[in-house]
Amino acid sequence: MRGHAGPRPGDEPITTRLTPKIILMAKGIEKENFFSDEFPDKDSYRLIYRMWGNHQRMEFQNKNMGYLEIVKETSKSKIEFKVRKVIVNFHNLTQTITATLLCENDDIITPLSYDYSSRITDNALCTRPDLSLDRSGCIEDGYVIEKIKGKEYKRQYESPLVFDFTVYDLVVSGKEYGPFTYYENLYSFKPGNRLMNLTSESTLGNHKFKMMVQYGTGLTERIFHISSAGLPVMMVQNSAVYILDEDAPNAIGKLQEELNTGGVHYEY
Amino acid sequence: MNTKPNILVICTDQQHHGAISAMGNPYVKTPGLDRIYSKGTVYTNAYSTNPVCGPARSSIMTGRMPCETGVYNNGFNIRHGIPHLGQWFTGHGYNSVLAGKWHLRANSTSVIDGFDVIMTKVNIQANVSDTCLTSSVEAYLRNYDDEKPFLMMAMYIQPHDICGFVNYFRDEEDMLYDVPEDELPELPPNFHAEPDEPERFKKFKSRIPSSAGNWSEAKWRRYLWNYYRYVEGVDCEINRLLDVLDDTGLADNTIVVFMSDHGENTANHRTALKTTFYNESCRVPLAIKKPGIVSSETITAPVSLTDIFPTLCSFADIETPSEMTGINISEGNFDRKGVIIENYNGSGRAYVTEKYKYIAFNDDDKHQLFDLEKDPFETENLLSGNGFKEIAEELHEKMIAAFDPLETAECIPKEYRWTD
Repeated sequence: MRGHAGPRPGDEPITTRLTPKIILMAKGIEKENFFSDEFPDKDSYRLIYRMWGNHQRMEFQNKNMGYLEIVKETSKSKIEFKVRKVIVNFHNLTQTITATLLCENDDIITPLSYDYSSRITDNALCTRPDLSLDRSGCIEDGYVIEKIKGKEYKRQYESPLVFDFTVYDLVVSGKEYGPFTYYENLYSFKPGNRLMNLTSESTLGNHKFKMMVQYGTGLTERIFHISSAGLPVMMVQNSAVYILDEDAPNAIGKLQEELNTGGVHYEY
Repeated sequence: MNTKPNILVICTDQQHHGAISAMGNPYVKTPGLDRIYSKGTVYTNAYSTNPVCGPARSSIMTGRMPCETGVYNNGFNIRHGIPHLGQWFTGHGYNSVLAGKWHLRANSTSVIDGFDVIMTKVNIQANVSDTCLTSSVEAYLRNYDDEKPFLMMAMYIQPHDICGFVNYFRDEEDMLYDVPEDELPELPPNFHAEPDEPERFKKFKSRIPSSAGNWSEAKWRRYLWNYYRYVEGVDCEINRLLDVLDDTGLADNTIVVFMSDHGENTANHRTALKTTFYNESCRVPLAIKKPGIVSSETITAPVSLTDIFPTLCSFADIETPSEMTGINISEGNFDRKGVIIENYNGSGRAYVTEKYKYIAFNDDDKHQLFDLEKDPFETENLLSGNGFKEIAEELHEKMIAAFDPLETAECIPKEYRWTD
């Protein structure tokens, strides 16, 4: 299980292109149910993934954390990624991030432009305008031209922008768990801390996942094992994401039941 | 018209003083912190007042030792009557804002008298919490339109997740991924050192599986590798904050102060986590970057987290509270030979100079003395033999003299009060 040697701290930063399989692996353990190398071969599609957080029996309301919606319409040649993420902490300070990333419908889903908004409400559920932030931008010739509060900034384009703003809770390893697909939730997708491509050696049938992960500035290949009980047996950051199948009956109730009866999966 | 500087305090949690690439560490890359260290005043002998989150933070917030604040361990409030930074700066014309970890009694809270709390620790993993912190601070700074200056406390949680790592990966087989050998940090030169240690420290080591001998050297190196990744995670956040200051022009009138509440043992003396008197646990990174300064300077004199409060007051040109243990270290010409440290609920104490560290316990006759100049990795307890008694006695007297004027908080139980 020797990992692949990646660049060490100090080496050139790694950039990767956005592909379906590094956005999400979803819905079920069967390999064919995971995203293949390409997005669905259809003129139009709309894929919606909902996310729930799991930490300390969900008693602190850090649930309903949002969704990722991937849309391609026949009338448009582009693909849109719409993201909504809600974090409610245990003092009812709430951050809601909504973002749309427009990409080319090419092999590498090249990012073109984005809109992002962050809203924070206080514990009286009032939105604080002084903590609201909107930003938008486009990618041209290797640079990001970003607008914030009417001012324009030109920055080097270093990584897929979807990582830069919001999808920082999704994905890593998945396992069908009752009606859920269970995801380990490890990395913040942000500059310098990015998820890398799943390798072609993913062997889901053997209860192993192998992924290339950039963690900080280090790059490593990680192998995730699934225990005989059907749970990932390793957890670095102590939380998880459940993605419910759309057609799973009583899915939310089942999730809560599992958490209540099964207890905390990962104690901090 | 605001003529006073804004102050941005960035505090990480459990960051080893050398876990910064600008300090020459080859195993970590911290472009964010390097921006502060390359153009700031770097304090290479900065010490926590107690290598535990709550007590150390009570000192940052008040300029007083934990025995004074009453926060002798996690889970306690600052004693009534001692003002904290938020109250003090708000009372002196600043907008005082806090985002992130508080940890004075409660780990986090959205209501702190004197502070506008814009984001607390989110009850999920640290990097999500830290990301929320950055985006809330970023929004606040980009929207800032007030004539009053601000004191912004950005209290990050990483690399504290190393605690979860140590607790979770108890056994070798839990390490389900492999890092190539040549990527793993080397073990420190004092990995095998056990310099005639007091019982208190041996007990601590026996309680955590890593230190109790359950980890192989390979696993220790993987723990180090992970620790540095956590550091890089929070460095990404810090880099974002510094970008915001530059984008908005606030950098021209904002002093940036960076520190950690305590260190991390990082395999030194075959130990993880904190709670020891060794330098890896007690020393903290500390750097201050002022606008317009283009080169760095290094201060080697010992300083303490109690010095943060009066130093910030000097930046703001406001008085300090009448009772203050720390001193202003902004000019670098302060006259102090040593700093004091508490530990183990206050039943252990230490006195540190540039040359020596002396450690004593209430309940253990075995004391320790290290020559930090000759033995920076603290491998030899000079009190093991018959020598150095006079030096130890002299340092003991200085330690007692430094603690003596401090008013011990009444809430501290008798068993945790120092008896000499």
